[in-house]
Formats: sequence, structure tokens, C-alpha cells
Amino acid sequence: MRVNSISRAGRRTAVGLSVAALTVGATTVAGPAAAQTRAAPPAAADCSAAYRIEQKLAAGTTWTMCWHYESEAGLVLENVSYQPKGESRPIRVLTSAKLAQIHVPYDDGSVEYDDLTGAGFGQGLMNMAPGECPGGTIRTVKVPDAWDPEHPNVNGLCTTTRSRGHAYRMQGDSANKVFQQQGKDLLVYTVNQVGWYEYITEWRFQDDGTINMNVGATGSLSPGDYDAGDGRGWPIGKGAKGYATSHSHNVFWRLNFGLDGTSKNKVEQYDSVVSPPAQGGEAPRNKTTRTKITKELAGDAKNMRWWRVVSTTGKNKDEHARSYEFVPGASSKYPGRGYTKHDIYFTEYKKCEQFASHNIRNCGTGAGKSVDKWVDGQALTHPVGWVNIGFHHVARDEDQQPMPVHWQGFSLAPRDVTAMNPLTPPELADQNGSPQNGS
Amino acid sequence: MPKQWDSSDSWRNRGVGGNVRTIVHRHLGKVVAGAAMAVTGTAVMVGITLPGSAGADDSGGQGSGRTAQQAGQAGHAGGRQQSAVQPGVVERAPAEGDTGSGRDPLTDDETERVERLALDRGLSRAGENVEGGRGPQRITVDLAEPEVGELDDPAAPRRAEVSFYDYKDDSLVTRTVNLDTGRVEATDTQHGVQPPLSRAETVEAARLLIADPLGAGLRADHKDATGKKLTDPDQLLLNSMVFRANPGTPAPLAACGEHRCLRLFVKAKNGPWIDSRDLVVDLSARKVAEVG
Repeated sequence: MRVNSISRAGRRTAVGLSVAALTVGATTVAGPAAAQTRAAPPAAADCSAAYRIEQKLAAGTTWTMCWHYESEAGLVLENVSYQPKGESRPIRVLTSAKLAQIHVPYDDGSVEYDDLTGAGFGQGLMNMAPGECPGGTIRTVKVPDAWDPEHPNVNGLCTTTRSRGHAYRMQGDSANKVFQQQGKDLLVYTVNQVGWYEYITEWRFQDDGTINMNVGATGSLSPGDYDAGDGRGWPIGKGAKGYATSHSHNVFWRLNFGLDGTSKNKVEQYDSVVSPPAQGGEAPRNKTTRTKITKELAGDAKNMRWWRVVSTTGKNKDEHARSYEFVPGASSKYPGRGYTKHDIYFTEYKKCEQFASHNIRNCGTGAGKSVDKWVDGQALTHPVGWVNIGFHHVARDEDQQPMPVHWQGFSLAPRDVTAMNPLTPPELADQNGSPQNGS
Repeated sequence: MPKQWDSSDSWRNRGVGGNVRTIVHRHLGKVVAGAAMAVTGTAVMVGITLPGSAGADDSGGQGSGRTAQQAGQAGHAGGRQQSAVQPGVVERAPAEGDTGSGRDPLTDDETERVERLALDRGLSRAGENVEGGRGPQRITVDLAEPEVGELDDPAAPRRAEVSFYDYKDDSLVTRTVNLDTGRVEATDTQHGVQPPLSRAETVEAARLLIADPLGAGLRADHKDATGKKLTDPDQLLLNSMVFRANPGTPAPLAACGEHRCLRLFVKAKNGPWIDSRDLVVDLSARKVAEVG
């Protein structure tokens, strides 16, 4: 096992160097490298080098953020900033991002877990072996009340880069000219054990500005729940044996937006409705309308509906307001509890509101302990987004043993953060706007 | 209630006074003993690659092999890399100063300091910890989030939230301490709110369970699995889950939620997991009871 040991003399600088030395190409060996020259430092509240993640990807995009670890929620990312090539300063996207709950009710009604607030998710940070963070760096995390008290320092935070395949592809004007680029992402992840399950919490920052957040459930099915009744489970033993009880995993993320360095952002909802062809028209038509969300909202997914959070101060070079759009992954919403009945919530920032259910801090008498209760008509000036992605787990034979990772999550896609594709090659840089009009 | 597996010496059902116990062997990477690896009756699992040995052989390790459901979101893996990706580099923990800056987590020094500041004379004299001793039980110390007006202020004060559980009156007390000024800015007291158990509380619960008549099955399973008598929580690795009563909960545990109750996940050190989820420890009443 290679350990990056930092000599006392160069310690302060060395820590900063190793942060910046994540492999950009797959074949280079991770280790201290030449320091990266940085653009103007971000204006927001910062953190020391040991708690900063900064990665310049091959395309010229830099992602920067602070991290720390919380007792219940686990990994917290703050001041997440995106700086594509051509931007002189980092653009802040998120002031704070973390999980807000993993809610696991079992179909037979016998038990219901709240992993972050009751089952020690935060205490269960796992050590990762070097092979679990290929091409990357594993950092030490001090875990309050770690479950193995002899080892409170856990090698538990992996930062690495990974290829995602085509970022774009387009035939050029001449027969043998193709514009294509292979995309590269910064990956940040931890593994937390809760009872039998292990959850991989993954944050994936693409070189084109997209952020993907996913939780992967793996480990083992609950060995104490193999006696499911009719319609409540699936046999994964031989024949009609071993009916593993079905259950849901409802994962919540809490995102405090800070577009362009301010927490004062706007929320908008878009709906598209298809109607029959116009008189003499060829095809059905589709009309998209915008609803400004000015008050707290418990939002429900609907066909051709989406939300975005819009900057109030920042515009791109096309003079369009910068924004980030929610792109949910597949979700099976669980109607059994009030807080899981909606797909997304927007609440006005309140520092006591930390968990989507079984909230620990006091938000006042009668204020409620779950996110659905906090949607109570407040004006939305400092919006916090809570995303709920559910998975109904009906076990299958392949779930033993160990259980293959099952991912659930969503993305935040940049909308008008840049005036063009941040990866636009120089030859195409003048193709902005309608081809007749030029830029 | 008991789970019937094909006969295998990896699984055993034990009935002790009507209380059925099961030993489960769980994969824990290198910790697993070869002979006892099979969880079901078949020996299919023996060939599984364990995490520690996988690193050196990783080639094209950039594939993420996700399910179709997730592929659209995270972006599917590509990149046929000809040379192997190197395993990760484990970075040694950096030296820690006295104070953190900005949004750094609390240093050890800062943590000690805010605990001291938060625990004023009144609270330490009147409060009671999980063992019945003087002073409330420390639960968590974390960096606090800013006030709404401070969200965009890089010079916002550094604050900590310190929470204690007072067993005298079953209250969760949270104090917000300003690290810059050293002052306690807020105190909040709640009843009926149960955060995850601290290490000390989990250990105390294990102590109560080991000593209790209802812990007979646990003691027997431990003896079977390790050959040693179970006398001390030190022999175990422990996880816990908060237990809250609901309308169907048996009377002895009806106060759980107002009381601080938990279920234990027990693992013998260098041994198997032992399922003890049908037992609940009420730390407030210092008793053990069966549930469901």
C-alpha cells in the first residue's frame, strides 16, 4: 500500500500539491506533481488546503470545493465552484451539499429505518483500500464516535478522475473531419456502512459543468428478514425458500444553492403541454410555460416538467442568467410517509432544517421534524432544494452475495452558465446563435 | 420468526427460553475466515475477489458498470485504457493546527474548547450521563451552519453545535458556541428527540445486555463463535440503531422515544455478527426487553 508521506519541511506546500496532483490522464501515477497555477481565489468563505478539493480536468475545466465530515450526515461539500476554460474566475454553484436522509421502510410494515438520524450512518465510514480508489487519492477523515474506537481516523474519502466516454461528437464540414471529445469527470466518494448495508455516496463533477449525485447501495440484504409474507418479498433461496422482504430506499439530498456567490437565487418551474396539430398543421404542437416559484414548494414530478435554480447576479456572455437545472434519475416515490410523497422541495434556508425526516435540531414548537412540514408559505429568497429519489427494492437471486451496487440519484445540468458549450473547440467558437445571424 | 437455511455449519438456530438466535457470518473483506465463508449452503462465494487484492490487477479500472437505470444520470463509463490504472494513494492525515479556518471542521483543540465552554457549571452539576454519573452525556460536536444573513459572508464567525443528552430528565440539550468570542450564543432543549447513540452509550447498552438474563443467547452465541466467555463490551464491535415506540410496541418499551432506547448490532471481534435485533435496551430505565 503506497502511502504519500509528507516531509515535515515541505508539509504545508506538499499537502496543497498532493491535492492538485490527482491524475488527469489515466496512465500517470498519482503523486505530488508541479503545483497548478490558479486563477483569482474564490471570494466565498474558504477552507485550508487539507479540506480543499481542487481538480483541473484535461479539458481545462477546474472544479473547486471544501469538504468536511459531520456526525450524522457524513460527507459535506461546500462552496462548490466550476470554472470552465475561458472564465477568469470560478463560478460558485452550491454553498452546501450533503445527504439529508436515507429512509428504509420494509414492505411487511415491521420496521422502518432512518439511516442518517437513527442508525449511525455517519459513524460507519469505511476505510477504503487503494484498489477502491483507482487513480486517485484517499484522504483521512476524522470520524466522531467511529464504530471502531481504536481507529477514529478513517481512510475514507476518495477523490479521483474518471472517463465518461463521448462528451460530444459532430461531423465537420469536410468528409474526414470529426469533432469529438472524450469527457473526464472528477469523482468524490465515501462508503458508509449501516447495519448490513453499505452505501457509496458519490459526487461526480463533469468537465462540461454537469454535477451528478448518486448513492449506491451494496453490502448485504438484511439477514434477519427472510420470512416475507405473501406479496411482501421474493424467494432468493433455492425453490420457495428464503423470501427476502422487499423494502424501499428513499434517499434525500439537501442542496443550498449559491449561484455566482450569492445565496439569493430564484426558482422556476417549466411545464410543456402537447396539443393536437393546428388547422392545416402537420404535427402536434407543444407549448412550454414558465412558473416563477416565489414561495416554498413541495414539488411533484410530472410529464415534461422540470425545475431550475437561477442566478440573480450572474449572466453569461450571451447575457442570459446563469442557472442549474434538476435532471432526476428513475425514482419510485413512496407514498407511505408525508415527507416521501413529493419529488422535490424548495424551502427558505433555515439553519435548523437539516434532515428530510427525524430532524434533530429544534425549529420551534409545532414546526415539524420533516421537510414536508417546513413548506409553509415562506417567501423563497434563499432557496434550499431537497431532492427525493426512491427505489423499491424487490430482491433477486443476484443480490447474494455481496449485493451488486444499485445506484439512485440525479443530476444538476448547467443551463446558460456559459454562452456556448464549455468544451467548444476553437474552430467552432464562432458558431453562437442562429447561423444566419452569427453571434 | 427463525430463518430456515439448508443445513450448514455456518448457520445455527438456537432456542433459549423461546428466544431464537441466529449466528450470521458476514463478509468483511479480509477479516472473513475461509472455512466459514459460505453464507448459504452452497460454496459459491469462496472465489470472490476481496477488495484489498483487487487493486494491483485493475486494468481499465475506469469502467463503472452501472445499471441502465443510472447510466443516463451519471454518464456511462467509457475509456478503453490500455495500461492499468494505478491504485489510489493513501494520504497521511495532515498535521492539525489549533484552529481551523473558514469551513474547516473543528480541530481537536477546538472540539475540546467548545465542549468545555458549552458545559457550564449548571449543566454539569445537575445533568446525568448514561452511566448515572454527574454531567450530561456528550452526543455530538459539529461545525455549525451560518445564519441566513451570513451565508455569503466569508468572514462569518466560526461556530460549533454541541449536543448533550441529560438522563436526569431525558432531554437533548444543544448549545451553539461562537469559537471567535468563546460565548454560548444559544441553548435549546428538546424532549422526545433521539439522535444516533454515542460510542459511550452504545457500550453501556452492551454492558447492560451482557449482564441481563435476556442476554443469555448473545453470551451463548459468542461462546460458540469464539470459544470465549462474553463478559465485557470490549470483546465486541458494536453498531446501534435508535428504537422508538409505536402503537404496537410491547408495554415495557412503550416509553422509547421519550426514553433513549436502542437495538444493538453486535459483532465478535475477529468473529461473526450476532443478530440481536429482537432485544431493545432502554438506557433511560436501564433495562432490556424483547420486541416483536
